[in-house]
Amino acid sequence: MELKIRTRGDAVVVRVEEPRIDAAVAIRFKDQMRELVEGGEARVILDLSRVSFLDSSGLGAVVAVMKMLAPGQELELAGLTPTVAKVFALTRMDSVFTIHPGVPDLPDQTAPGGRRHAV
Amino acid sequence: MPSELHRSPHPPDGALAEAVTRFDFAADPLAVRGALESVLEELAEAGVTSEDCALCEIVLAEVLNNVVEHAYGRAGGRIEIEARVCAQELGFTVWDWGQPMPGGLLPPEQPPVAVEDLPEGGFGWHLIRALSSKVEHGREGGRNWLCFVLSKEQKALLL
Repeated sequence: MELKIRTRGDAVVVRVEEPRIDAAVAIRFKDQMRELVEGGEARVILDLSRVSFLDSSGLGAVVAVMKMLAPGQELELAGLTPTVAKVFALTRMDSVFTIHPGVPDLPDQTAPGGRRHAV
Repeated sequence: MPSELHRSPHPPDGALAEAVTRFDFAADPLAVRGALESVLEELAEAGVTSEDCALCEIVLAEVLNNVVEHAYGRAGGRIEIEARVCAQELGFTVWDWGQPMPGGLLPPEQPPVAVEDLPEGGFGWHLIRALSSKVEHGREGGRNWLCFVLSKEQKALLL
């Protein structure tokens, strides 16, 4: 699945460029995220603004990503669209993650250009 | 209860449905995506609000994923859905020809857990139960059926 990655200082922003994180792609998503979080950035910000649907497999994959983090790393979510927000609220997972309405402003650093990551 | 297994899969007000549509597709994740799209298109055409469509998609996706994973053990098969749009509610029946529900019972509600022990699975039935009612299931002649109903415009639930 296609992910767009930007690094800014101690944060990596991963924007999911797919409309759905569901049973069809959950495992692939987990595998790709595993590679990314190994970069060790303290803040891993998952931008879900392009994702219009996420089912329990997708939710499970996001939980799995959180559990993959090293001590000192935090997973934050941003840009939850309505249906995705409902799923997080109904399962009370919205109290487990830090959720931003949009990707938060990050320190302006001269970091290398964004990379696309697709498998 | 044993008598539930022999109850008709169609709810009493099935005859009052404004629109009834059937769908038939393969039990794999991509075909499930296609089926969800088709069902939602039909619901929208029958005047169902986009809010209600979204809730239906959440429940149906979980039910169908369960069929693909558990009834068919990812080996594939066939799934049929009937969608009924009624005045106050939306009714669905899902049929598959896979394994019976373990123990013949619907999975129980998951108890709350600490953050460290958060499951990576098991949210599916919670979502189904949170949004739908009259969840009934049965098995007749090698075919499983599962029915559930979503009330239209159930805003209060999500506060």
